[in-house]
Amino acid sequence: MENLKQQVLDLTISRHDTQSWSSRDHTIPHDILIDIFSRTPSKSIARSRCVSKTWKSILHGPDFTKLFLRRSLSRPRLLFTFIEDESLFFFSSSQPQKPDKNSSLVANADHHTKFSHHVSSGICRSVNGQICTQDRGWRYTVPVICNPSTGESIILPLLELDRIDEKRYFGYDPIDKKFKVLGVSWPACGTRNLYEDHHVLTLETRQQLLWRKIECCSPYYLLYNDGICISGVLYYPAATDTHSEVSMIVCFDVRLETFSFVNKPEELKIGHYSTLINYKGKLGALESKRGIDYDEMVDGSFGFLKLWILVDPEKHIWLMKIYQIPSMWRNVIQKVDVYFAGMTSSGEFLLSPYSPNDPFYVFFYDPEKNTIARVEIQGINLQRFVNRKAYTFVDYTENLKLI
Amino acid sequence: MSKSEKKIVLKSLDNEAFEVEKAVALQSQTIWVMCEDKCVGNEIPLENVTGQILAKVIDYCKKHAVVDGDGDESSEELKNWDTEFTKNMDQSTLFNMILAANYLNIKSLLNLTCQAVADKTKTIDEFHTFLNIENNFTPEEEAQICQENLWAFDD
Repeated sequence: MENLKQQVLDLTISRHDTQSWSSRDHTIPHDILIDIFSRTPSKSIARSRCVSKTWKSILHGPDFTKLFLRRSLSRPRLLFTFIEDESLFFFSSSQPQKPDKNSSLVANADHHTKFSHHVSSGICRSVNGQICTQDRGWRYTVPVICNPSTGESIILPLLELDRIDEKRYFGYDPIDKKFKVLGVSWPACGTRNLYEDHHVLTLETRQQLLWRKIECCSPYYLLYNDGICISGVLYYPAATDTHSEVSMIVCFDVRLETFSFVNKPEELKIGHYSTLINYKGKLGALESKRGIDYDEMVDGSFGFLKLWILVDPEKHIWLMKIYQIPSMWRNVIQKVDVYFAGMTSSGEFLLSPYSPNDPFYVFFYDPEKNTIARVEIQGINLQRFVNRKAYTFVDYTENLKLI
Repeated sequence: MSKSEKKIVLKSLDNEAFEVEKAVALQSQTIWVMCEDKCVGNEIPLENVTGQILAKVIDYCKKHAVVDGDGDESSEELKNWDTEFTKNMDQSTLFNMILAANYLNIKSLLNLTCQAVADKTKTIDEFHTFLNIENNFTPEEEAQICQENLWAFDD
């Protein structure tokens, strides 16, 4: 912080602009200027670095980066990702807080960056402003961490070459402030070792990135990709054998690197496109009305929503909530095929179209008020992404640095 | 406390006097310290704030004092009120509101006005003009640094 203050004292700010600001006898103190900068989107920061040497140095500094992240956490954004021509395109817009059903809201999306990795699928949810995806190389698929707000990315080392496949879960330990990737890999069919191997990679700057093998106390089978990191715990669904349905949730403590397992209630069906959500800091699972064989496509005929909340992981206690969908839902959503993209930190479910048409609408369902609000997302050239799936994420936090 | 002790007079730079409830005025840490010091009477001169701006500051403090005291308005309503409050302010007013909130040391108003500037400024040039930041790069340096941040200019 001292460093920042020193830089601020050194600042030279022009007073030449008297035409429109002739009434100004004072200038805004520098600490307030920094405060204002920390409230602007990352794009403004990048542009502001280009106007003066001092500001370039301040806005690149670690103190400002920390302040910016702290502010970002309190004003989460929506992140939209498209895959086109094997490249990733990121856009983000402000995330409306408690949108009113009567107002027609418009959110402007900023184009962030294009990553020319060979991506076909497999984008994890963003964790503290970073995204974990994969680069499908000519021989191996390698994990990549990208920061959509800065355009930076790092390619992680390969896990194991003799294993047939692997899945990766991306987590953040808020206590030691460390990002970690959990790699779960399993062998080719016919080999004796049928169960998953676990490796962890801690993302640290100026350190060689290495996978460390860790032990898991109990064998299980992975069925689906979906995983979510909530308050330092990674949750993902698993089964006891290859032919059964999901029967439990694996809980991986990112800091301690330990596993625990939570039984899933018999009635809760977790399907291929099931939606795990962050329900006010607890794990929530949204159930498909149509059961395990269908994805979470929602249309106007959807009658109710069943949400399971993991209230006590140690005692395997879940709470079920049923929300009756208001009949106006049909009028608002009309014929768009939407899916549940998550729950915002202010408590609304976000529904986003699989493949956005022009205009691009997303919908916020407020379960407390039982209202639905439509928000138009502008600023994305949809012509470019015709028939492409939009991966929409809630609570995206802009971060000015990679890792 | 007698009725008169509950009131306080705030005097602006241009000698405009505002009689307000003490509870309203004490949201300003600066005024609070002045009152604690007892070095002022019932009238507090505020040499850095014009009447036009002070009136707005008092509006804000009144709204927030009522809500904090009675709790009859939800935080959501208060948030909406805050949004409306800054919505139609022009840049010059916002600029002066920031200076006033800083001088009077009203943290929530400073946060609100700083956020309003960050949200309302449409273009980056407008933003830099507002903050009075001058480009001191040479054209070569500017080209180089813009090249490094090219993505930010790609609309």
